[in-house]
Amino acid sequence: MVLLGDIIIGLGTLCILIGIIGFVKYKSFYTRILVTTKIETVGVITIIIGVAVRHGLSFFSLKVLLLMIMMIIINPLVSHVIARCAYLTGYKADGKIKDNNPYENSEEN
Amino acid sequence: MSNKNSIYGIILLTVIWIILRESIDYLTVIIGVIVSICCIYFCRKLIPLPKTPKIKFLRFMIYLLFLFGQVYTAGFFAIKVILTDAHIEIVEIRTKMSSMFFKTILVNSITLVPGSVSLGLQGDKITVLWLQQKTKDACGESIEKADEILIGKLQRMLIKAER
Repeated sequence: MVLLGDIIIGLGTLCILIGIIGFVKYKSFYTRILVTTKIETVGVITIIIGVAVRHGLSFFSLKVLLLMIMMIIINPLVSHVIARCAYLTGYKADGKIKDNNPYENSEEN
Repeated sequence: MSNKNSIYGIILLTVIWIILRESIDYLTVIIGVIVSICCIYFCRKLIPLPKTPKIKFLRFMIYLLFLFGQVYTAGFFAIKVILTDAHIEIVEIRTKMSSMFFKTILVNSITLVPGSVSLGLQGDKITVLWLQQKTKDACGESIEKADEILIGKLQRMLIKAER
């Protein structure tokens, strides 16, 4: 179980490494936020599963899995808020900034 | 909050309390139940659970498992895109979901899946930031099929979970 856990933790770390490569490689804000979302979800979830497998069925594993559930709920919200903030500010997909606000005249909730 | 939802809330909070305390003796459980009742009592006006629509529990669990699989499938695709050449697009897709609760779950699922981040929800229209592989035809065909690619399967499974 320890070996299997170590392998899973290694895979998660590899995912995070690829995410960091992407973060350094791309300069656009939107591409960077998409890449970091990947780091958050796939990388961190894999590492947490690896830690839980490594420690077997214990309170520590349950605590770590509880942390994973919290992250799964909170991560999309944080990514969404940051990306939405840029979108409403007028940031375009090609990296340029619009003059007008896309929701200026609409009744957005 | 209804009585049934309050009981579910107390059970959930007590389980979290036991996990954090790392023991399952009588004292821990009793203190956990008392603390949970206090939390639910003081927060009852803040949690709008009576508006939550009815869910087919088993179908919803299948949806969560499918979403977990999708996170990894999309994750491996995103690795490929990151290491080659990425192209981003802001697309607008339409959902068939009727209830706001399920729409919110769908939009959060889109953000949880690597390679897509939701930017807004306005009525049935979802604005999505989408990571794609750069191609010669500038992804023209993919954008037309964005609805199916981004939310097709997730939406079908979520409709089945809606009672």
